[in-house]
Amino acid sequence: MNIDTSLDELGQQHRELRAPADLANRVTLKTSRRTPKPHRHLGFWLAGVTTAGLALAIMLRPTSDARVVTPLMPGLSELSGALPDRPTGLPSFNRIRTVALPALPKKRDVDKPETETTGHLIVPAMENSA
Amino acid sequence: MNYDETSDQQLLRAFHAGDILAFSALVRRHQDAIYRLCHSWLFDTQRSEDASQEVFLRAFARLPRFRFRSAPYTWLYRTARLVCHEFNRERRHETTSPDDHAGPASDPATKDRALIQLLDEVRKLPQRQREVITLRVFENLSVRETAKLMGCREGTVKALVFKAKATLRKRLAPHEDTA
Repeated sequence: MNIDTSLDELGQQHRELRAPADLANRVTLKTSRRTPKPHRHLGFWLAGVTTAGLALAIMLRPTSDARVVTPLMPGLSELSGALPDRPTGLPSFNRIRTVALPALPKKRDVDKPETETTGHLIVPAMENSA
Repeated sequence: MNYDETSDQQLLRAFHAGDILAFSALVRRHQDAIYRLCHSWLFDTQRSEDASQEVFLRAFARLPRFRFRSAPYTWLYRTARLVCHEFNRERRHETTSPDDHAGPASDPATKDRALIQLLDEVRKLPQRQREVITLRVFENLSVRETAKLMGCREGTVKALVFKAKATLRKRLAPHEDTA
């Protein structure tokens, strides 16, 4: 059998195949019930933008440190009213001063009583002290 | 508008503008080729009709977003290939009776026994080789058109045709000896 000739014969038979005559009508009938939706992808855009916005909001949300600092900002708690007013007469922690104390001498005098400490001491500053 | 003398691109542009008749003309122009392609992949008349219909229904839904980066027929061909793969996948999951597989013996178009054997062997070829035989030999497309549809180089098409024919010769050689 000559493969080339036989394939040509098969090709001729193949090309004689015809789609059913009513195929175009069937398609047209089915498509007439549908309407093209050129803007259907708008939903995908909206979903994408929303997701991106949420991701940005999560990324840029205030950190926990900022939440602690916020009430300490002068005047903010009074403006927002979110926090209760500070009781009067108590020292304000708006400004915290750290005072370095002199270090102890290396050789201690045993008889002398220990009155000094090392390290830093947080001293609350009185309001309007500056 | 004379739809018969209009190019595919122009028909598609008319369809974009809302001319449904242009879409019908596009269907009529390509329905036979798409049906034949579906038949060469599915080997079943009824399924080929269903697949062809599905191809054009998808075209109706998706061609409004067509960007003219390729020819409309290339898009239809690739959609047909996709749809046929889906149909074949579904068929694998179904419990089918032997009559559902329209083999060469039940194909009314093929009478000669040798041709039936050859067609049977063509259907057993690897997918790419079968595809190239369908397009290049059965559909009588040029090497360039076949390469464009298959998304490969022209040299690859020639090599695949050569390999497919060599495979067919090898497989049919014992039959030649006995005949």
